[in-house]
Amino acid sequence: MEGMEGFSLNCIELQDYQPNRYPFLMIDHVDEVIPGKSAKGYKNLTLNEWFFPKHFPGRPNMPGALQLEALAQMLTVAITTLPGNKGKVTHALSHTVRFRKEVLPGDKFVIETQVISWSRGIAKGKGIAYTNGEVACEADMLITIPDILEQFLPNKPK
Amino acid sequence: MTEYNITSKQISEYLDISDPFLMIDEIEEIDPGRYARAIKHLKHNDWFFRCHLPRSQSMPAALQIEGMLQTFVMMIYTTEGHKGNYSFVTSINVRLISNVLPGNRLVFESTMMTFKRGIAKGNAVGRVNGNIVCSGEFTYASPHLLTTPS
Repeated sequence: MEGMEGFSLNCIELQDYQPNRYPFLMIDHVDEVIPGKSAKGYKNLTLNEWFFPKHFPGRPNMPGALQLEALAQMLTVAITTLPGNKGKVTHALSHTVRFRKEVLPGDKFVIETQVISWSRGIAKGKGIAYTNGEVACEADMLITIPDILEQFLPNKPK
Repeated sequence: MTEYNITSKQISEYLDISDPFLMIDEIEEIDPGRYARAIKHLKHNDWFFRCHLPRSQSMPAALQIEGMLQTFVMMIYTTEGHKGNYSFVTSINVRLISNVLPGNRLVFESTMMTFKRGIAKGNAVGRVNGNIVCSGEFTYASPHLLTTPS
């Protein structure tokens, strides 16, 4: 992985590396991604977001499950930018998350993720999200690319 | 043990969440503050199958977690004297085991471990055909009940 330089992705380029689409694409811009190491970016939240009128009527705040999804998608970008992984589909395996504060419309949801290990199709990583410079939530994540993982599975009897 | 018969409309009233984000369709059994079992029927035309993912359809992990959270929080919201107050999720720890596909009947079961001084801890599992597809441990805080131990 060494010697790889960081680069940024805008919302259109991002979709080459991220299989999710509207309304489930939870990141807007990747500021810097170092393939296999880290990814930083943000999501801008407006009151126009589809989930704010529903969660909850009259007192909008961003659903915890979608905050986690945003962190997981940013970690995915750090993995799918590795050579040979472009356009691969990822799945979640296990997440541990702590929520620190409410995320409200108008906030800039800044996401920083790091890859701790990547081998045999399984990536372990951690992510922290900030709003207004304060920690909003932090997560330890385990995601997988099933296509690669399958090559390492023991043969199952059919 | 009291058993409640809660319709889909009442779930929406209890949770204050409506259609696109409501991840449970019916409550089969509920024992306020202790146990809840809820069902989600997955249809081919559910909105999340169109965007997740382009080639293979499966229920997004975040929404499986949301389903477990909603089943869990139903236990808190149906306890006496809770109406009009809100709870917030503070920590989750989940495992996602297999894909959930269109046409599946996803059964969420949650049990409360402790519910003291406004902090609720418990776990939830999601099953398809009796096989566990997701499981997790959750902590919820209800600010209006939070007190400091004396």
